[in-house]
Amino acid sequence: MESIGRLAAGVAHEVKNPLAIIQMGVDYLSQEISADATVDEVINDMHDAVRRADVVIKGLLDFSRDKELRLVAGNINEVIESSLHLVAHEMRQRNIEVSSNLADDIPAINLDANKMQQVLINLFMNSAHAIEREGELIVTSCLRTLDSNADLVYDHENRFKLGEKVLWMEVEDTGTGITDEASVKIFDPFYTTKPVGEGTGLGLSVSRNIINLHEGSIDIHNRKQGGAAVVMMFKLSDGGK
Amino acid sequence: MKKRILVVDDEKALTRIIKLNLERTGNYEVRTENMGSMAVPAAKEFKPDLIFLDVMMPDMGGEDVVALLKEDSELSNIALVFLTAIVTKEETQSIETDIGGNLFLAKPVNTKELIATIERVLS
Repeated sequence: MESIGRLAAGVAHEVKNPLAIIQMGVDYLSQEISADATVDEVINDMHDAVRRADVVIKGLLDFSRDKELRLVAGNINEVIESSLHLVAHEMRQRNIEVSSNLADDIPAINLDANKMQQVLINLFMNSAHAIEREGELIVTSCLRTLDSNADLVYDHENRFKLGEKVLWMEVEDTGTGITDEASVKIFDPFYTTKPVGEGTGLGLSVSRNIINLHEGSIDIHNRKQGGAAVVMMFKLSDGGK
Repeated sequence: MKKRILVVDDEKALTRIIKLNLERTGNYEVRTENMGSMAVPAAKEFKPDLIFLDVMMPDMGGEDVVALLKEDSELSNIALVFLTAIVTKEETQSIETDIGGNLFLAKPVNTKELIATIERVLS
C-alpha cells in the first residue's frame, strides 16, 4: 500500500505539470483563435479532458492516501444528515425522493466525519446514477443484533460475530441494481460501470478503504424488490454488549 | 500601472504560457525563472508585486526560496503564492489553500483562477 502511495504521488506530480501546461495553453489559444462553434466545442472538449484527467489523479491519490483517520467520537446520524443535505439539489433535479430512517438511540462512535461523509456522498451519488431519474433513496441507521448468518454475509472482513450488537447502516435505491459481474468486481480499483469519462472507478474502493479503517464492513447486494442496497456495519464502543 | 509578477517554476513551457496568458490581459508584466536559485536575484532586480513559486525544483525548493526571501528586508514583504503539483489531502478539497501562511494553488490551474488569485492577494 505504501508503494502504491509513492507511485500515486509520483504519477500525480509528473502528470499535473503537463496538465497545467495544456490547461493554460488551451486558455491562451481560446483567446487567440477566432472562434466559431466548432472551435468553441473543441476547446470545451479539451478543458473537459483536462478536468477528467485531474479527477482521475485526485481519485488515485485519495485511494492511495486513505491510510489515516482523525477519529473523534461523533454521531453517525449527523454525518448522514449533512451528507444528504449536500446531495439534496442533485436528488431534486433527478426527481429522487429521499427518505431517512435514523434511529435516535445510536451512541457516539469513533469516526472521521469528513471521511465518512465522503463515503456517504459517494454512495448517494452512485444511487442517483443508478436511478437516473425518478426513484427512491432510503437511508437507514439502527442498532442491530447480528442474530443470523445472513447478517454476517455482509462482513467480508470477518470482524463481527453472531450475537454481536452493531451499528447498522443501509443505503438503498430503486435503481438498476448490479450485475453478477459487477458484484464481484465493484470494490476493485478502477472498476466502473459508468460511461467513459463519468466515473473513475475509485469511489467504492476508496469507500471500502475508509470503512475498513473504521474497523467496519461494507457490502452491496441487489434488493428483492429491485435496486441495490449497501450495508455497512460498525462496532460499538462498548463492544456491542 | 502594470502589476509585476515573477513566476518561478522548473517547467519552462508552463512559465512561458503563464507569461503569455497574463501579459495578454495588458494588466501584468511578467518575468519567468526556471531555477529556484534564480528567484532571489530575479526578485531583487525585477521587484515583483507577487511571486508564483513552484515547490519542487531540482536546484532549490520553493520553501528554501521563501526562507531566503523572508531573510531579506527588501524582499520579505513580497506576496507569495505556491504553485505546485505536489498533492495533499487539502488540495483535493480546494483549489486554493493556505499553507504555512502562504497561499497555495494546485496545478492544473486555469488563467481565470490565476488572475483571481493575483487580484485578491494584491487588493
